[in-house]
Amino acid sequence: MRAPGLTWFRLPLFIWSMYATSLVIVLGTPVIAITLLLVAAERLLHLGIFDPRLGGDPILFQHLFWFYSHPAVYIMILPAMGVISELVAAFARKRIFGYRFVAFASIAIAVLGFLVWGHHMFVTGQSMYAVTIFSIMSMLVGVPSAVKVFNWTATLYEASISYETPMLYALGFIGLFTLGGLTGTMIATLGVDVHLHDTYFIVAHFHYVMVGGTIMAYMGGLHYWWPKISGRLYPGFLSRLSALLVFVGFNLTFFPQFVLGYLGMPRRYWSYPPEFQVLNVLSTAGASILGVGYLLPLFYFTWSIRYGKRASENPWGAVGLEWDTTSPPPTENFPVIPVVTREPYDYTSEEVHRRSTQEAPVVYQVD
Amino acid sequence: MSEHTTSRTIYFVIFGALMVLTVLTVMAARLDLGWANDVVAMAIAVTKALLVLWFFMHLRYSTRLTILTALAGFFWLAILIVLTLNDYVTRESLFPFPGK
Amino acid sequence: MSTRSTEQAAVAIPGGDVGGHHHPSLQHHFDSLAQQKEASTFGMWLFLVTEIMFFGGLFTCYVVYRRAYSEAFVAASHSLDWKLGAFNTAVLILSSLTMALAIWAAQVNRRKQVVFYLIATMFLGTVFLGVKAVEYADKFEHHHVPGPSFEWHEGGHAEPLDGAQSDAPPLEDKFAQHVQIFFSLYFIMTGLHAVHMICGIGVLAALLLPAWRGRYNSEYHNPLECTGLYWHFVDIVWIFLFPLLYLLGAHAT
Repeated sequence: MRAPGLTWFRLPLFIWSMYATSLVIVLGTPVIAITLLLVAAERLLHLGIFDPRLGGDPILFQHLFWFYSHPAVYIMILPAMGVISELVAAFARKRIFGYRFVAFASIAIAVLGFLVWGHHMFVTGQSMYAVTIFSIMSMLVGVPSAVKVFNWTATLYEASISYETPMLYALGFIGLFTLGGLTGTMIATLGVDVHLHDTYFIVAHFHYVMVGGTIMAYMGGLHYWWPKISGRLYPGFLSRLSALLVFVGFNLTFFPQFVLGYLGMPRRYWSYPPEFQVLNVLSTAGASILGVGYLLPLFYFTWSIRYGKRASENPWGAVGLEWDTTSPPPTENFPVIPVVTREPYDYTSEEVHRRSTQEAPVVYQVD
Repeated sequence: MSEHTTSRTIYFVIFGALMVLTVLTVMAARLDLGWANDVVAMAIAVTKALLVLWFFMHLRYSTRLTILTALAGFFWLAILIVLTLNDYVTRESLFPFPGK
Repeated sequence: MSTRSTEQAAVAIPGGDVGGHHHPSLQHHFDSLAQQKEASTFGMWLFLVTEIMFFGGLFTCYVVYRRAYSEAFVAASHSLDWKLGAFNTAVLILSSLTMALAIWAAQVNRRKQVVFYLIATMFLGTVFLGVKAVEYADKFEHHHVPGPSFEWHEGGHAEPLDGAQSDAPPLEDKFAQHVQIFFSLYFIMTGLHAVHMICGIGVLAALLLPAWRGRYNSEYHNPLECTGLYWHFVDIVWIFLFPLLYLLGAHAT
């Protein structure tokens, strides 16, 4: 249960995004469940629901499949966006600009995300009218995501930014998710998608939002909360190097794929004509660098559990309930249930200001 | 506890209404009303469902949050059906339904 | 230790003594029985929302195919026995009444009536399943079970599904195929509904012993309430299944 005094608008934005995510999960998952049950019945019991040889409709299958599977991508991105709100506030030492807009944008993404699934089926045989509606709705669903990006950017304005590892990932997210989202709007355009569907452009788009977006946010969150969870600090140089490798490796891997897709290279083909070779090789090289960037944290996090310097309660000097308890927290998180009286991300309060100027956060292992 | 207790009488009355509506739906189905058959059948089914929801499932005494949750569930099903039908209803002969 | 801007004192929650902090049914993370009941009801409704979407996928399939294959659906529906369907509808509605009365009995602290109404609900549910078993057996005899043995008296056999005949011309005898789709939906929808009934009867059985021991009373009967919500929901599903499956062909000659 929420602590006393923790009203809705005092919740961290990460929690808002988790609420929005759970809305999507509750409403969408049962539909994929019944769809898979139907396919299983078709295969095992010879019932024939979607098989065109028996009068079934494969497009009906696709409607049911994508009704869940599009909201599923919002299940993946909403928590990531929530993490970014936490990271940006902590490392800009400033409250999130437009808190309520960001909170309601999370809910809006969750709701609007259910109205756009047909954009995965633009070329499968829907009616012209239906695809037009889905295209328009897909434009609309980009708006709340854009609202969030603008608000994070406004938070950074005139802030005192520190470039710790989590912040590097957060900044990477803001740029790369924007690219992914903009290309998403491009392929939401019906006419463009007729050309780009099932090409590498699509692959590049969703990797920009999923890897450049979700995974970067995951890495940022991992590096932010690692001291809290494990009670240990990790090396600063190595972690920042990894973030850089991930950023460079990721872009080298996936940007060429936009070009490949635009030039017409299809998805899911195991071979390609020679004119696509250079871009493919670049992409593979990038993947190798990306792999190193992902492997390094595996090593230094494991190292930190045994040899890392012990973390204080609040190594980042951040504002939030989790930073008011020990690292790691005790059973039931707090010795006594706290009563919440402050606004979220309240970096302007005198006490926080005093704390940040007098006690420099001891973050990194002295190497 | 200050909990609302529905009286047995109300439960029996609602039960009676549900049985009457069942008889009605069978009778209406035996008439040939063309497209109106579906409308009447669904209208009666929705009425029965609302009676069960309001009285038997105690939505009558539930918080706004609970009522909103129940409504949201049915609304989301409506989204699924309406937006899917939106495709089929507007098809021209270019993409006919397979099997026809 | 740095100073904190949150107070550390535990705060007494107003209304927490209603029902008693030491009430045996109050879980420690709730402040009062009323809050616990509200949370339990809300949680059960969240689950029912997933059930609405689960069955909803099937209803979507039904609506789409009904539009496309209306004649075949009418003919197929006509072959179902609407009297059995109507009887089952009445049985289920009666079982919803007995379920609601079980909760009423708990609210007025009549322990034995709680048990009686729970058993009555289970009995009616079993009657429903028995009728369904009779119907399914009938389908089996008439070769109306979809699959290799499916036959429709107005036409030939539908194409089998497995790959052996993939070279054969598809879409033979379309009417029979459309009828088979109706029966596929019939079996999946009523079959899934029956599975839910079986689980519901199981849950009711699990409530019998605690009910007999007086566990459910005016202060606490959340398990009854939640089971009731589930049971009524399964009833609502049938309220829609009955006209859609059984009454399509009622006016056909």
